[in-house]
Amino acid sequence: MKYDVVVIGGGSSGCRAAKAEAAKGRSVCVVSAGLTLQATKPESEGSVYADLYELRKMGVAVLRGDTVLSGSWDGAKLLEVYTANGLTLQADEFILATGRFFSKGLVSTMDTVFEPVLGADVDFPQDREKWFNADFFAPQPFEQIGVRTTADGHIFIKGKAAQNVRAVGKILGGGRHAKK
Amino acid sequence: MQKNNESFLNFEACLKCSICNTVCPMMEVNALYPGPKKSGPDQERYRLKDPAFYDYALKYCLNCKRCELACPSGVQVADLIQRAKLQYGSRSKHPVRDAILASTDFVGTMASPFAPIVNSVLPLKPVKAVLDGAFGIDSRRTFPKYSSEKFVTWFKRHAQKEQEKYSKFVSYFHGCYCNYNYPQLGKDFVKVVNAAGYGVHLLEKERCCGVALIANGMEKQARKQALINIESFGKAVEKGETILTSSSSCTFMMRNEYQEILDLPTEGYRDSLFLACKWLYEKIESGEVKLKFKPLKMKLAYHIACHMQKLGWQNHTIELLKMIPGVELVVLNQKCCGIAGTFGFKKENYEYSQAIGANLFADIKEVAPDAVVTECETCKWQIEMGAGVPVMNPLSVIAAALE
Repeated sequence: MKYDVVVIGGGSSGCRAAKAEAAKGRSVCVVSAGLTLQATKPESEGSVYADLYELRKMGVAVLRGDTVLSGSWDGAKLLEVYTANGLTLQADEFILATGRFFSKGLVSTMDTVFEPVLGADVDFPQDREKWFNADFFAPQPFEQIGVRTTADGHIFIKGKAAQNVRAVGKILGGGRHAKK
Repeated sequence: MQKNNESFLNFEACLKCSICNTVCPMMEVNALYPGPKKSGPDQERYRLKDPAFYDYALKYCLNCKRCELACPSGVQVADLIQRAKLQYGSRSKHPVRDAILASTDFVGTMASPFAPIVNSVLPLKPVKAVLDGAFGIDSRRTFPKYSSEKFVTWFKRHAQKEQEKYSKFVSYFHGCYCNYNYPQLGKDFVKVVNAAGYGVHLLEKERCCGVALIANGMEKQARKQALINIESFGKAVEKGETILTSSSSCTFMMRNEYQEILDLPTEGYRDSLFLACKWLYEKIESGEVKLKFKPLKMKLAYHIACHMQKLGWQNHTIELLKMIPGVELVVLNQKCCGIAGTFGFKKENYEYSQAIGANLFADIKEVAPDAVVTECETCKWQIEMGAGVPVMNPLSVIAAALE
């Protein structure tokens, strides 16, 4: 199945990226593994509901409850991705919007943090002691952990910039969520 | 998902985030239903301690699977609820009614020879009043019609011979609706598959997939029928044939729930059993099959049935429909129609069923299509009754557009 753009992740950032791409007249597919809220009452709910409702009206293909498991590459170019429901999605461009730890866009183990879908390079302090600050309300270093990107948002795979994959949203790191 | 230490249907992974509750259509209309989080992972802890903690309100679960689609932690919420219903659920207050609604094969076989009589008697007010009063089948519900010639009878009489001129074959699981109520769907299936250059074989033995039996707590019967189907699937796979279906809920039952709810082995056939639209789209995409469509001037609204969304193959159908010239396609926002198989036929559920469906009916009326397209037959009954728009299976649309 071929689209101009495949957005991996259908949260707030993924939906917005999809909307922006669809507004340019490109064909878009959003793969959303959980968390995306359904649009039963778009008018009464927050922006994610409204985004999703609008996406369907714009002709965006929304795959709810499906997960991108992996992709196949030609050098620095991502050709296609494979989903848990057995779909192969090809696209000229991919957008990685899988969020951070809660949505499993990033996974942390005792000694490392990795991005499980495409294996994008993640910046994190090597010394685990430096991941957190004992003062709960102080800025938490783990909140700054995110995928490494070029100036225009393209991810890196094993130190090499990917040609056609950008990252958006929380997976980039930053913010003060613990304090919030 | 972590593999070690995994709890039954992963219920320990629940973080109590309540996202499942926000997407539950039943919770929105029924204050008696405690919602998927409480019914599934929360109460499972209690039920494991003492079955007396089983909550009767679990009967309100539609098994629409939205909770599972929304769960960020991979908890099989709806499966937990279905299994609890089977294991701890008390006897129904309407055992005869439930058996009639669930035993599609038996009722279908009995009704088919008398179809004209059954079809003209069932909609009569006094009959409906009796069904309502004595059995608890709601009188406001429109019943599906029975066909006097079963699909299988038609196939054996008029189509089986022709099939042998093909060199490649698929096996067809037609399902009860196609066989007893609407054989035209099967005829359309045969037409489409033949146009793709494949012959159609029936399975050696076919029983109702059992989705209605599970929903009505008749686990033993469901298991018996499932085993017969699984054996037939095995034989089809041995012959190298893909098993195709036309109904989304049967497909979901046989691919997923045989294993998740009945603990039956599905590995032998799971990767060879598909909805016909997925199979057809992939054949066209790979270039093996070329279909010629004539223009079909219709405005269609595609309704993604709940189990269809869980299967995740809606894009195949959407792309297929887009190939037909002249078709104006609107994809409806995915909302539950509320009937949930036999659920909406029951008197005590009728109001909930219609309240859930109201959202979807309003959307359909706004789009004002010539027909709604969906893979699910019970959605079809509900939408035709609630929105007053004819509902077609995508295969029937494709068959109508074939040159």
